Order: sequence, then C-alpha cells, then structure tokens
Amino acid sequence: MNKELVGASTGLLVLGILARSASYGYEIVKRLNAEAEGLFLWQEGTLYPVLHKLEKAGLVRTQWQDADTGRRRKYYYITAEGREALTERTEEWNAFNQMVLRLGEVRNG
Amino acid sequence: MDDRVSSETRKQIQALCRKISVAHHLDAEIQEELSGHMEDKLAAYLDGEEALSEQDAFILVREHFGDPAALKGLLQDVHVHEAHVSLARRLAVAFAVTTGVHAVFVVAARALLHVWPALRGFGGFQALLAVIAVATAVASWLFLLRLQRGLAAGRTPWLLTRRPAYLAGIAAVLSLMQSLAPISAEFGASGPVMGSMLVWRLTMVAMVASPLLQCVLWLWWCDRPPRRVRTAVTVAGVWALCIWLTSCAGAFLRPGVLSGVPSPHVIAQSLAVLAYALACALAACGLYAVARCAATGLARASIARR
Repeated sequence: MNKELVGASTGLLVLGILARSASYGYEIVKRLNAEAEGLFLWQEGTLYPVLHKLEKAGLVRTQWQDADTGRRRKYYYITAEGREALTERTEEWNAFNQMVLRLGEVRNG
Repeated sequence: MDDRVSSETRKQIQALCRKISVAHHLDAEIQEELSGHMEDKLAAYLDGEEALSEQDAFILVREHFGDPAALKGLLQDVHVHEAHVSLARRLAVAFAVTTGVHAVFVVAARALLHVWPALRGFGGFQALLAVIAVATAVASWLFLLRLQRGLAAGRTPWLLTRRPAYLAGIAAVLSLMQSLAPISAEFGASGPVMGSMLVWRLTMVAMVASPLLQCVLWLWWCDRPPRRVRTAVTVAGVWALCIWLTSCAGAFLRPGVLSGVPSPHVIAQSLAVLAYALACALAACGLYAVARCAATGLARASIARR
C-alpha cells in the first residue's frame, strides 16, 4: 500500500485502536497488524512519534502501569477530545473515500 | 523483570534505545517506553513456533524497529518546541553572537596584519576578508548549535534570558565599533566608503539584511537539520551569497552606483570572495553529507555483522 496514504492516516488508525480499549505501544502495533491483514507493514518505532504527538494534542493521555513481567508499561487512553477527533476524521475520510470512488467510477465507466 | 530476557540482551536493548535520545528531560521516560516495547517483541519471538536464538531475535527486533537516526529526527520534531523562546529573542541572540564573533575575528586580523605586513597586498586582502567572513559564519553556527541543544535539553542559556532590545543594543554597539574603523581601510582597498546617500543606504541594507538572513538560516538548520543533499546544497549556496553580500556589498556598490561600471579590480575581488565562500560552504556541506552517510553505513554494517 502507498506509504504516504498510510502515513497520513496513522493517527486516525491509532485513535481507532485506542477507542476500543487502552493499550501500550507493542500491543497497539500487534492489534494494528492484525487489523491490516498484511495490507501494510509497520516500522514499529515510528509509532511513538505519532503517539507522543497525539498526547501533546490532548487526544490521548498516558499512565504508567506495572506489568506482570515486573516491568512498567506506558498505557495510552483515548480522551473525550480524542473521540471527537476520531469521529470528525472518520467522517472526513468517508467523504474523501466517496469522492475517490465517484471519480474512479467516472474514469472507468 | 521478565526472566526470558537475559541481562546481557537487556543491556543491548537499552544501548540501542539510548541512540534515540531527543536531548530532552523526557529522555529517560521515552527510552524506558521504547526498551519495554523491544523486550515485549523479543519475548514474543522467543515464545514463537520457530526456534530462534536470543541473538537472532534481537536482530529481528532491531530490523523491525527502524533506523534510530530517523526515529530520533521524528521525535525531535515532536519535542523541539518545549522551551517556548520567541523567534525575536532567538534572532536577537543569533545577531548578537554573529556580531560579537565577527568583532573578535576583526581584532585578530588586525593583530595578524601588524605581525605580517605582507598580507596588506591584494591577494592577502581578499584571502583574509573571506577567511574572516567564513570563520565568523562557522564559529557563530557552532555556538548557536550548542545554544539550541542546551535549550532542547531543558536548560536556558544566559543569553536567552536577556531581552531582545538589550541584545540588539549590544549588537548595534559592536557593529558601530566595527564600522567606525572598517577592516578594508587597513588594506588600502576600496571598502564601503559612503560616497552618496544612496550608496550609504544600499550598503547598510545589505550589511544588516545579510547577517539577519544568515541568522534565520542558522536557526532553521539548528531546528530542522536538512535530510536531503539538495536542501543542504541550496542552503550552503544561500549562505555563501550572504557571506559575499556582507564582505563585498560596499566595495561592489560604490563604483557601480557612482560611475556605472565597477572596476575589474573590484569585480575580481568580489568574485574571488564569492568563489572562496562557495567552496567553503560546499566543503562543509560535503563533510556533513559524508559524516551522515558514514554514520548510516556504520549502523548498517553493524547490523549486518550481527
């Protein structure tokens, strides 16, 4: 899949994952990969700049928690603002998707 | 602690994460989060169906994680504006530093002329003028880069606590001191002698605009170092033009405005300074590119060896 397309929607994908339940970095990647079903492959480290950007924007909040392995894990929770942003961006995506499909039909039809 | 990961591998993971430092007070927390991710991934490989050695699993983790230098850049982009220092203040600091450094080099050049009078000839003049301009640019850039890194690490350098007006005052005094006794007069060359009001205005605009443009360029480079060779080369070219403008604008403007045609002597001087500055800028840019490629190559070689 086109890298720029994936890059532009990374924040939206992460918010979508966190809207289901709070999670930490490694688990977020696992869940995204499971959802992607081989459509794209993550450079896992690049998730963190996205997460930190969302945190700075107030769309997610974080909390350190002790894991059963004895280490600490930083959990990410979606905020109310994050949910609003997710709704807005999903609507934007839908509108954009509709437009692309319409134009594709015209070209192919 | 997770018993499946040995302390040796854990140290390797932590060493890898330290490379992703963003020179920030959140470094420890960010590194803990990243190393936690890597340990989770490592444990997942070790629990998998394929029989992987611990070392093999670590190589896979590093490969999947991506280039630490690229990640460092992305994280720095996110965390760079923590200090909230205004652009006006940073510009004033850059301007004061540039002027101060230039004053130091001018004094050093005068001392050199006393010791070595042969430098007063034509060739010596153009060489020393260009050396002062380039040395000022390089020294100021290094100083400002250090200042920016301190700022990004959460420290507020003394200069950045001063008011812009105070710094502008210092820069103005230093500029005035230099303009009262221009360096070119020492060599008997055609310096920025104020032949008419138009020449004076144009010279002053060039002399002020050029260092300011250089300051903007440096601040931008410190904030977001260029990642493409084309950008770096373009910046180096603009930088060289700034140096040329600062060094030669006065000498070039005077005959151009008064008689319509600059003398061949002035054109030769001017072009020599421009060529010298451009060569220095491109050389610096080339060294930067080589160092960056070498660092990437070493990282790749290190991964391949393992």
